[in-house]
Order: sequence, then structure tokens, then C-alpha cells
Amino acid sequence: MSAQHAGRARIGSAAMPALPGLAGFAGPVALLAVLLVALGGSAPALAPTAQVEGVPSDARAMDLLERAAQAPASVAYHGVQFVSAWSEAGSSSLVVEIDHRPGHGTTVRSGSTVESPAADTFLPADGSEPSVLGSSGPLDLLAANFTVVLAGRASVSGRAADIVEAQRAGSGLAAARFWLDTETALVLRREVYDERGRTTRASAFVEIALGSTQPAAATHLPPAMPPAWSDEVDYSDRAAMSTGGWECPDELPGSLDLVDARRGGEGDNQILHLSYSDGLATVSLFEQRGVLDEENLDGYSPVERDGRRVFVRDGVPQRVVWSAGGTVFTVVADAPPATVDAVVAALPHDPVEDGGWHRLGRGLDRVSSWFNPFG
Amino acid sequence: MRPEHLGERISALVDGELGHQARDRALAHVAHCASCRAALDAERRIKDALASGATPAPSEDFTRRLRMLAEPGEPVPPRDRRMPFAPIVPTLPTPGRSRRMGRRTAPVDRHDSRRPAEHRSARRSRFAAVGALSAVGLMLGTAFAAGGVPEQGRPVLPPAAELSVEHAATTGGLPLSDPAFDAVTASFGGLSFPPPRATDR
Repeated sequence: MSAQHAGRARIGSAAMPALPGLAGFAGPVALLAVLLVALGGSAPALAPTAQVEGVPSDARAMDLLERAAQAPASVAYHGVQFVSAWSEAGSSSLVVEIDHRPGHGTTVRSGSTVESPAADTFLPADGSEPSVLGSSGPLDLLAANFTVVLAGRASVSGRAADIVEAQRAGSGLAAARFWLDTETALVLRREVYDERGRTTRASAFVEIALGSTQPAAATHLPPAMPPAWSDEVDYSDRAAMSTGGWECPDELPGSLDLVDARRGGEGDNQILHLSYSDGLATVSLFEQRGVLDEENLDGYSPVERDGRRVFVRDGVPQRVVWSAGGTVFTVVADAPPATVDAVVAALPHDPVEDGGWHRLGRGLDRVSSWFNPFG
Repeated sequence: MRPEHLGERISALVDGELGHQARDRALAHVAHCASCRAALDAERRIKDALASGATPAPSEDFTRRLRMLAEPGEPVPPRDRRMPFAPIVPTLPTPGRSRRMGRRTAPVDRHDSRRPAEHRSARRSRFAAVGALSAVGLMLGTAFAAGGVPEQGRPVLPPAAELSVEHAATTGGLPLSDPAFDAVTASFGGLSFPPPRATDR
């Protein structure tokens, strides 16, 4: 972060779990440490619960979200932001410098921690958009699955903000909150909650200033994030692949709709990528032909639940991998744990219990396949 | 005094090995002895057949004895010893044979033409049942063995970093996506994000 950020307004409130070392971020560290002491680990208590049920979305709230979705295309900004995630395994936090220039892209620099080195990433502005959304508006999914309302006003990093809340249709509990800059509609702070109202993700600017520090020319930029695979899978392709044994559900539990389908790799190494979203959570389902190489799977923990055996890696995002019926499934999810569990449960699994009957049945299937000319 | 039968001298007669007088006496005996005449004829036919390379027709008595051997007898009793864990395979009993060759275990009247047809039918049914059960056992044994073999297929290790980047690149196009989270996910496949620390939820 450059010195010009010194003296900027500070965040007014934040929910922060324990933060790792913040090399290179001397300015915000003291403030974040104070916040940590004041709020440390108490994010779930901050989860708002509006308890409003059956209320239609507020048109003004939707307008604000529309403006927020369009704001990065016209507003330059830079600042310091914290990102935090909570899961059953615990919490993770990181502080990043972020610099955005419309039409160019966003540079994100994460500080080094005890566990991980510093990393710079450039997100090009011309990133791919979901392919299956078709003519649906960008916020249609959010509006279809949640009730969007105004939830008051607040101050974030000294800037006035309007709070927009997405509520679950059934319980009325808050699923997410966005603090939108009153002047520019930039998202200054966001929190995402699980089905019980506990915070699963939070990010907020602790410092922000309008304008970009990026050079006008695209030089000396950090490595750009690779674009999404270019081989988009349309409806007819998906139908053919489904007939060929690939799992191609149009929706997954948790009101997750298919928003994108692509292919990567070639031949036997082909990978099918299906993306799902409910407007807030995102889940990617990857499929590969073969059997999971469990012995060389590093960083994952085996988990058996409800007769299913999978390998889980907590973190951001959460990853779950397993194989069934000659296909290796990998779920990469930015979603509440319960949603991830429901998604995994809805996909094929081989039985864990390997009793005599299961073994006999599997053997009969295998022997019969030897004589099946179409197998 | 009636001379004795020729016996082994028949072969010598056929082979022309007898002396002049002995041959005359043998031929004189054959003229009056039907038994030796028949034996002489048989010996000559055999010699002729051997000389021509043709297979001599077996005698009627030899054929009858062979037929008796071929007739089915009672099933062979079960063996005393079996190989442990040996698969069940259909085994056909040796008809009418005991463990010692040439001895019938259950003598039957070989000349009894009144053997009930249903007896043979029942025996065939037992053979068929044993064979079917053995086939089923063999099939289930094979299936059980095949079911224990690990699932065959190409071992796959999902490219975690590439898949995380692909996830971020795709979902990053969604509205209100969080660029900071996308960047963290894309950086080293999300591995730069600190591992979770235990918190009291």
C-alpha cells in the first residue's frame, strides 16, 4: 500500500475473527487488532435477523443493488480490505490491498502470513460472464431466491452507506447484507450468513479512497487470473453428455441453479465444469472420468457421513472430492456448510459399507458387464 | 481214439510252420472237428486282416462284454477326501465303476431288459440338479471374487489449483461477486488463505 493512503477514514464497525500476521500493512494493523479485541470471533452474534417473512423485495433496495453491480464499471477505487471466512473447522482471515480501475481490472495484493506467502493477483475487467444465464438479468437469481429490502444506514470507513439485506424467503433470516456507498454504490462491506444466521463470510474496507493508483498502461502488473475455460457447453451438449453418463443437473439443493457449463482438458483428461448459484452462494461441480487417486490426495481429510465417504478440505473455498461409478467429482463451494453437505449428498456415491451382499452385487454387475456388448 | 484239438498248433498251421506229416494230421482233424475249423478260420481272417491293414472285427463275445461294461450302474459314492475351498464343479459319476477299475460297485442284472425308464429319468434329474447347483455356486463364487477386486479405472488426482482458479474465474462474473475472495481463491488455488483457526461458534 502506498503512503498516500495514510490518514484516510477508518472503518466504523467490523466483524473480525483472529487475523494472521499482516506484513506490509502497518497502518491498518493497529485498528484491526483493536477490532479483533472488541469483536474477536463474535461475528455470528452480529448476524442480523430481520424475521420478515413473505415481504416482497423493496424496489429501492433492488435499484441500489443494480447500481452496485454496475458501479465497478465506472468508479475507480483503492484501499485496504479484510476478508474473513468461518466454517465448522474455525475461521480464516486475510488483509488485502485492492486497487480497481474501470475497464482495466482489479489488483489484489495479499500480505504474507505465517502459513502463506504474499500473493498478487490481477483480475482483468473483461472477465467471462456466466454462459447459461441467458437473457436473465444479473440480479434475477438473487431476487428469485431472496427478499431484498433496505435495512437502514450506517458508516463504513467514514463514508455514508445504505444497508441492503437479502432475506431468506422461508425464515426471513438475513442471508446477506451489503453496505453500499451512498455516493457511488460501491460495496463497502458485505456479510453472508448461513441458514441459522451465523456469519460465514465477511469483507469490508478498513480504508478506501476513490481513484486508482494503477498505471494507465498495462505494465508491471501482477499475473492475471486465467480466464474461464473457453469451451462452453450448451444445452444440446449437456443433453448428449448426460446420456453419456455425465451428471448434468439443472439445479442442486439449496435453490442453486445452473448458471454456467464449460469443458476443459482433452480426451481422457476432459473435465466438465458446472457452476451453480442462488444469487449469493456459488458452487462449482467438476467431473472427470476415472477413480480418485486417494493415496496421493494431499491436504484432504476423509469424512464418512450418512453412508458416503468423501474427502474434505476446509478453507476458502471449501473443496470436497470423491469418486463414484467411474467418475471423480470435485465440489468447490463458496456456500454455507449445510448447503455444501446437501449438494454433495444429492450427487452419486458408491456405498461405503462393503459387506458380503454389496460385494456380491458389485461382482454380479461386473461379471454381467463382461458379457454386455453395449457395456 | 479221437485226436485232441489243435490248440496252439492252429497258429503254426496258418503260418505254415508245421511239418508235412503234422500238417496232414492237423488238416485231417480240422475236417472232422468243427471247433478247430472255426478257430482256424478265425485265425486266418486275423492274419489276412493284419496283412491288409484292416481292423479286424471283434468277436461277438468280446463285443458283448464291452456292452456290459458300458451299461450304467449306481452312482459312485462320494469321495472321502475333498480339497479345502475347492470350487463346486459338476462331476459325472463313472457309470458302474468303483474306485477299483473293473469292479462294479452295484451289480445290476445286465441282461435285465425290464429296467424301469423312470429310474434312468430320475437319475438324469439328479445329475441335472447337481449340475445346475454347481453352476450357480460357481457363478456366485466368481461374482464374489470379482466384487472384491478394486474398481478398475484410470487413477485421477483433481488439479486443485486449476479447479479453484476456474471456479473463481467463472463465479467472478456473477453480480456483486467479491473481487478479494476471487483473488484469494485464484492465488495458488486458494492456498494462500490461512487455514481455519478453531473458534467457538
